[in-house]
Amino acid sequence: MNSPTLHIKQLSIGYHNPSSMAKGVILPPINTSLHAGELVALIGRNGIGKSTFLRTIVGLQPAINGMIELMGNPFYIYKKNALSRLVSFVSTGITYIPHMKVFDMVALGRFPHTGWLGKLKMNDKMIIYDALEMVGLRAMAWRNVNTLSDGERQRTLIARALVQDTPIIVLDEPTAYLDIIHKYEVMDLLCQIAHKEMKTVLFSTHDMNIAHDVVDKIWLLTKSELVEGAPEDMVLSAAFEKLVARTSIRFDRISGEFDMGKRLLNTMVVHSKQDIRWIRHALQRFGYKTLQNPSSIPDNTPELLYEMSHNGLRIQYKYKSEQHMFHTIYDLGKYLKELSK
Amino acid sequence: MRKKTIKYSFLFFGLGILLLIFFAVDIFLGSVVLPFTDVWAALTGNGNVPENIEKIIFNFRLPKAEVALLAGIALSVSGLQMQTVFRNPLADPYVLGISSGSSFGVALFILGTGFWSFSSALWVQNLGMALAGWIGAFVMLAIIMTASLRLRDTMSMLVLGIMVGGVVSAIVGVMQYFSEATALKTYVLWTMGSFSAVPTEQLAMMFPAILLGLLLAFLTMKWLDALMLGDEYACTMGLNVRKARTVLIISSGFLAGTITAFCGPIGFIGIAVPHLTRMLFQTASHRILLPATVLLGGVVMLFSDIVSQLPGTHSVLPINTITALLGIPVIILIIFRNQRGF
Repeated sequence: MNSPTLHIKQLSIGYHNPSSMAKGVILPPINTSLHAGELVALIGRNGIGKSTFLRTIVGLQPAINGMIELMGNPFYIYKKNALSRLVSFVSTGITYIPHMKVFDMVALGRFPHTGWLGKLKMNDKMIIYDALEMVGLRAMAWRNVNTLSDGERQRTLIARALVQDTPIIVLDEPTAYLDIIHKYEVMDLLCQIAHKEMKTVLFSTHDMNIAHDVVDKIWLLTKSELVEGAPEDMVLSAAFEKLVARTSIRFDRISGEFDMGKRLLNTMVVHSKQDIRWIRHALQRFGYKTLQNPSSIPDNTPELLYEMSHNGLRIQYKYKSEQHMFHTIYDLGKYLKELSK
Repeated sequence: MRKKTIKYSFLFFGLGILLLIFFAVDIFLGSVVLPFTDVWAALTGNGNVPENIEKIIFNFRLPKAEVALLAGIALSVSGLQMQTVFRNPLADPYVLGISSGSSFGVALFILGTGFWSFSSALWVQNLGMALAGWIGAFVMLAIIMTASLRLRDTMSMLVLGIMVGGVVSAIVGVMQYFSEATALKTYVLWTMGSFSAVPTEQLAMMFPAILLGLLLAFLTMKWLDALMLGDEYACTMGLNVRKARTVLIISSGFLAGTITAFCGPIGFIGIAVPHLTRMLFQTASHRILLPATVLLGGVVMLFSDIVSQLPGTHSVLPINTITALLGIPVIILIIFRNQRGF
């Protein structure tokens, strides 16, 4: 295996408090490393210190203790300019700059590579156009940044990090503010950057479902430790349960999804020859446990006859002498809600 | 890309021509109407020109035009730097309190000392006034810089600037209340701003200071681009943000402080011209904006000076009234545009 691009030893992070000289350590010592070509998602609850962790890695704030090694050398041997050729950063939040063109915004990434005047050489321009091509904004190079959608703006900022030409790219919540399509687009882009360009890409996110599908590794940050592994490792080793410990949320290891952990007090029998996944989903939402095609029906249990055909949805509800027919799950839900009153 | 270069060259060329024209017009026009041929002869130095006309041109009109040009350039560049450093479209030396500092120095000198009453030579008084304004500007600059090390938030910096400005005006107000009429009149005239109050000896002091500020501004152009995206980006792109801001504020202070000390506080140009430049050139790149601001700043200030002469009449308006009338609509436009979040 190749040597790590980023190696973290006994790192504790937090804020130096200037008034009391006390050190506000917000995370326990962390030991981990990342390699070239790896896409890594940092997840954890709000306020746990994800941003502080990322900011420490890119050198925006000092570590309280321990050591970060970049490309095999300790962090502190690098001057600011040398550091900016190793790690680039995309921060969270939106920047509005009047009259700035997409090309110019991306061109800012060449800052560490250009002379005192900041003049772009032919080579710089080619790198910028390549990056714009990669993020799919080649045609918008001369658009005003403020006229872009949030997804396009995020891709512009990612292109800016790309042209900085660093082996490591760190992004703080690149998918926040984005709609679901743009979230997928951005994650896919990060995946390409990591795998095709062989860069180490580390980003924090709350979009775990999407991250699961693309990342090589997950860093799960909790108050007591940093748990890491492939997404599937995390599921199998019950790491995600740690994330939701002491909350009412539950992690379903089979579906790989979180649910609200609502207590289901009633039972509903469902008769169907078809896949009832979505009926089960709906019933759970209405507070019912689902019993599919049981051999014997328990007492006092309502029943549903479910059929999906080219004529549409048919749901027959049966309880004692009552019978109702529904054609949408919405109507069924309304009826059940009425009933529970 | 090619089209852009042509567009920029065209604009630069046009502004350059306009600057020359306005400079010439500023010399030709004034409260006394001079024959065109005489002015031309005096400037080119051939033919015999009446002595009084030569005097008017070389002792009054030419220095005044030069000072107006320098003031326009310096205040506009200073405004551009401050808007980028503080990432606020409404920042300028005025708002940040540098002009207030200067006013305080001048007020202390004129109103506070008994210097005025046992009147010495006029040029000593003038020089003392300018020096006091200079010192005031730099003391305020030091305060702002110290504060900028503690306050990370640019908004708080602006609020601080306004508050300090308020305190200074209050103190000056108290001083005005207790001062005698002649001193008061001199101070009030200074606050209205004037380019003709700068004699040639002072121009010799003013010129190198402005040149130094401009040199620093051009050397640090690239930093401004990086700072536009905010400190986090600037820092991770390899810029030493603290050093960069300090150098930029010194440059900005040199430019604005010098002009305020010699010409009085001149408002609104510092905010308006950088925005006009951005609108005209449609770019955010300081490699274009900075030289363009230099040209446009000169053009706008020379224009203001021409208008303030009220050509053809014997009255002259204070330059501040013209810059306000020209600058404030631009500033209001910016506020409305920002509202729309464009």
